[in-house]
Amino acid sequence: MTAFRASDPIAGYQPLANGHDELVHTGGRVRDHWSALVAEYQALGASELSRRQGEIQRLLEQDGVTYNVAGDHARPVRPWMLDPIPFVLPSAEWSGIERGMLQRAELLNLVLADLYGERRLLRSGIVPPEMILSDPQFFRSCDGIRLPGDKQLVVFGNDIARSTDGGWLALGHRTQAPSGAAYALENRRVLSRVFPQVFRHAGVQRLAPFVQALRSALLAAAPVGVEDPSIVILSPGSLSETAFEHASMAAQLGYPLVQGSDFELRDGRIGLRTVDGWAPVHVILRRVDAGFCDPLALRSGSTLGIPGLVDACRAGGVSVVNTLGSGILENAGLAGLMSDLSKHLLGSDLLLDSVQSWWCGDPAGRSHVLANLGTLMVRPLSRVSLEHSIDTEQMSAAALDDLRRRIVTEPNQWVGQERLALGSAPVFGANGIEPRPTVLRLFAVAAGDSYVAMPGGLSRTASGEFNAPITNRAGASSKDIWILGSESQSQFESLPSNRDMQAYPPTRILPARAAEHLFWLGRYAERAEATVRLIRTITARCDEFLNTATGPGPASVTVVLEALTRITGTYPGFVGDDAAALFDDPTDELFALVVDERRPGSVAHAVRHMFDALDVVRDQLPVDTWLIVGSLQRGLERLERFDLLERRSGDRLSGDRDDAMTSVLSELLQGLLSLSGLAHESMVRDLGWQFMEAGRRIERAAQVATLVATTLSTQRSAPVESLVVESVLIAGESIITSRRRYRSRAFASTTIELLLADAGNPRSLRFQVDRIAESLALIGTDRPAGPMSAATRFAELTRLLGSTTFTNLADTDELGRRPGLESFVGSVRAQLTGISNAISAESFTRLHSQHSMGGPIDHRRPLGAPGSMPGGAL
Amino acid sequence: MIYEVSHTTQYDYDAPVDTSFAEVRQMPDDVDGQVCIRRSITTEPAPEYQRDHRDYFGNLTATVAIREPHMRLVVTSSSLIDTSHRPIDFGVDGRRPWASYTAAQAGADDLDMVEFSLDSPLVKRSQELADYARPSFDGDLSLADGVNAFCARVHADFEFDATATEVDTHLADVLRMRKGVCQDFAHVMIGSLRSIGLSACYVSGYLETQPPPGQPRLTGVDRTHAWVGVYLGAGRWIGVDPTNNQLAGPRYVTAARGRDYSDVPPLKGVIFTDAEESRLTVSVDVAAQ
Repeated sequence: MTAFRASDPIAGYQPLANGHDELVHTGGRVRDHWSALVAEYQALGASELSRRQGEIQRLLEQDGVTYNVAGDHARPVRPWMLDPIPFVLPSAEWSGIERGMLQRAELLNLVLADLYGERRLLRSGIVPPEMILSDPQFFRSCDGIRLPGDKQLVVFGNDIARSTDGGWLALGHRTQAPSGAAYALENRRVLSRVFPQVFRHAGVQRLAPFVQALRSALLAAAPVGVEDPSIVILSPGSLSETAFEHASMAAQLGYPLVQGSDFELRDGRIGLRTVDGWAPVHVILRRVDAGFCDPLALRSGSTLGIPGLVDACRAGGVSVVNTLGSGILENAGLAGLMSDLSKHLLGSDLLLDSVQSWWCGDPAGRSHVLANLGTLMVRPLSRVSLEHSIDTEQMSAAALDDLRRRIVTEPNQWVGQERLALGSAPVFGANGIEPRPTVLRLFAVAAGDSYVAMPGGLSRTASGEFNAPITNRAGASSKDIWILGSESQSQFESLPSNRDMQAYPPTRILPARAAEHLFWLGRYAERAEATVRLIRTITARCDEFLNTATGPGPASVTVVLEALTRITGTYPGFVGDDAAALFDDPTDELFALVVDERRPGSVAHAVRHMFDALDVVRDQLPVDTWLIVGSLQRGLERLERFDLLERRSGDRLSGDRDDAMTSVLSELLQGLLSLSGLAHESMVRDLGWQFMEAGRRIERAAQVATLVATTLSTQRSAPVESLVVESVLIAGESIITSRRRYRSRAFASTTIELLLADAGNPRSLRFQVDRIAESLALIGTDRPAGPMSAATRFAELTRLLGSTTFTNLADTDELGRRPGLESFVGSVRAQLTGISNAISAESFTRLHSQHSMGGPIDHRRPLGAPGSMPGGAL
Repeated sequence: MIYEVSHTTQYDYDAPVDTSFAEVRQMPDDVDGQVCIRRSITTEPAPEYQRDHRDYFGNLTATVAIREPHMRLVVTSSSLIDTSHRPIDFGVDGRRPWASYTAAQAGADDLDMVEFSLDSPLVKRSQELADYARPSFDGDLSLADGVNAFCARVHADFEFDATATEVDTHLADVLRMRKGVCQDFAHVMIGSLRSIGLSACYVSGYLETQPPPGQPRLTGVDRTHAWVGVYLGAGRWIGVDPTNNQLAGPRYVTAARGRDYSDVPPLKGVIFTDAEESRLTVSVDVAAQ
């Protein structure tokens, strides 16, 4: 029993001094709805909980769940943190919260419609006009934009927290582009997998129907008369703070993830540039802050938007969800008015109170705030400001004076808020389960004439005990929210209307930009693999001939090293003036060709570009991709550390380093093979796949042809050539076939045959060309067939292969060269380059850069380029 | 007066522009006592589409897209406007003490009163601006006297200098340099009026220029102009031109009204191009009929 108590994870639980505690009553007794769970955690014990916490982080990492911290260059990608202990609510309590939140959604919907319509609330003074007119999120250009139907606010996020007495208070609204729903779904997926029994026993309400509800809401927002609306998700790009969420939402909803530059207006209608030409778009779920959505009507200079979007919305041809301008509902001053608004607009009392707040634009509010600086929280009126809540209790006298001056100068821009002693929830930490201040973000979407809530949400806990800001920027951790019981389950089950029940055909829309990244993903993955194989072959050979100074062994290594430089284009390398020295000890150069990502041609360079492409087309890829990406990344980082250590200490750590390189090369190869396996076993053969496949095959064709030409175009003495041929076959992954087929020694002629001409060898040039034919046929429907077209270039390549007698390519001239081989591969490479360029020209539109009319045309980094990604902070 | 106004903006580029999008606010409307008899906007190349709407401030606004490669873009607006009924003085309006016209005195139902008394993107209220305006608004001077006196002071204190400022020069810098163009004069006056609690707007439009005595009128040498609208409440405005120290009478044609220049540039746009340079040529003609 003693032993059991020692590992009891809640043995030392001490609720915080102030505020409500989720787990225990004031007396320390565990609350009823927790008792079953507590028993389960006790049975598991602290060390098992800790093991499962590791499991959670591993699963999150495998799914590639991250939160990118804008402006944090040292560590821009932060792993998502999920606590093993959920936030638990009994169904009866949840029903009350739910009703309160849905009422807020209804209310804010009416406010939004009025503010961008008649503005009666301002004229009547129910909402002070200055409060709205001073908020930069009130976009005058968006006046008059109306979605069809009553619902102007479609997606709603509501932050709530416990007050000291255990009741709930609303802290703020998320109406611009509420973040967190996909993180909540991911939290649930992971937690239910790591605690399958605990989860099942608890009887938790399901979250999945929320995705269906969101899909229905987006369909309902489509312009009137559009039967089968085309819906896309507008993202600020893969560097956005919540890029994971954007891609995850897109994948779950089955809608394309697009960026501003994917769009093109035709006749005033919004559409996408796709590989099949222009395709209209009817609904845009936006994850870009409104101000950046249209450089014509809103912030000029933004490259994240679509010029003309506001105009198209106004004309009703496209619905942007939430509406451009909906960010005004995040105005901090509205909190204090919600009760009055409820009486005025709904004729009923507000169910979920706001945290008490005072807008400083109101003289009474201002004097209260100024008199109580030092005990209040102070918030900027608009969330457009990057400033978060200011805890005046923590401020120095000088800082308070400064804040006071700012409030007096611009009173409209400030709101004072009661400083809450936030309720705490149990969190699993280093010392077992401990209390931490906690807030909840809840979500609702429009559904017919009302709203439905996600039965759960995202709970976030402070990193310390005190009222530190609970934001992801500040390193908060998240929790799943478990609503017990299944009372309101039926509400969701009955949701899908006839319109939703139709099967969703896989979307045909492939934005040209996505296709381009898939194509290059294929090329870089293949390039990385080919380079890894070649370097691996070489390092093995170097080890083999380590103690041999002369003879055929070292001579053959020299041939392959020279080929490596030529194939990767990493001149001068092994063909430069200093080559002789490098041949004596090639390890530094080989190491650099693996890890130096600034060097085009290196493995790291190819892998980096592959990662960048992966990020962009994240929504198109199987989830397991991130499992592999993680291990590739770790492998490269392991090698980089050696590099760093050496540079720092000045010592050579060659022995260790070379051992590490050998094992990392194997890991890299394994990872790259897994990626290509995934691509073949887990991806639908849609258009995107064909682009990736075409990229892969073109690259492999070029790699193998170049390998053969650079190593075999000059005849060597028989013993050297025999070793070279063997290396080529190993690097070309055809050594086993060669041995089985040719029994005795392989010759240049048999190698040329096997690697270039054999249609049955999946590593041969011929095989790649046949696959390119298949992909081009699917990509290139109804493309013009000019002399520079992919189709024409490909026909020439086929003709070249057909007219070549491969057995003659090994023939040598009087100087011992193989001119036939050299010229054949030269032509093949030229055609492959031509095909690649033609695919780019035909399918990926080259965009001209965007400028403001009349403004000086300059090519500085435009607004919204990497570094500032407006859209999606949690 | 009846004026034929034509306003041509031409951009020449050193490489083709693929697509141009533009918002045009050059369509005079029936406001400020003027009546529009006809108006049109044309572009060269011809637009793929043009959609007109009335913006938040009530200005007729055209959104146009040109989707064919072009080395030169020409946007021309022409209109026929009757300004005979534009007030030439404050009249009965503006006789009350100026302080009774401040936004604080107005009911919330007069939204314009609030809207045009607040900070706007290019015009922030400040103590400096209030201090600058205050001497002209002594005690219970009438609004009309105060505004006229202040207009004369701005005119006297500031030097017209087309090279001193850019479109985005800060108001504080203008106040320090005491020079600028009509846009700067207007912003100074608007900011000052707002800083003492009055409501004022930015008016973009045209002014008929008189040829020097004895010389013939030249076409196309007029300019776009900007002045100040002082709000009197209940939807009534009076135009004041600090650049020329006069009320904006019948020789003025209103094109658009906003909080400051940024709300109503006559032409703004987004282009897609690899061009490195553009050359702008503007020609305006205001011809009395």
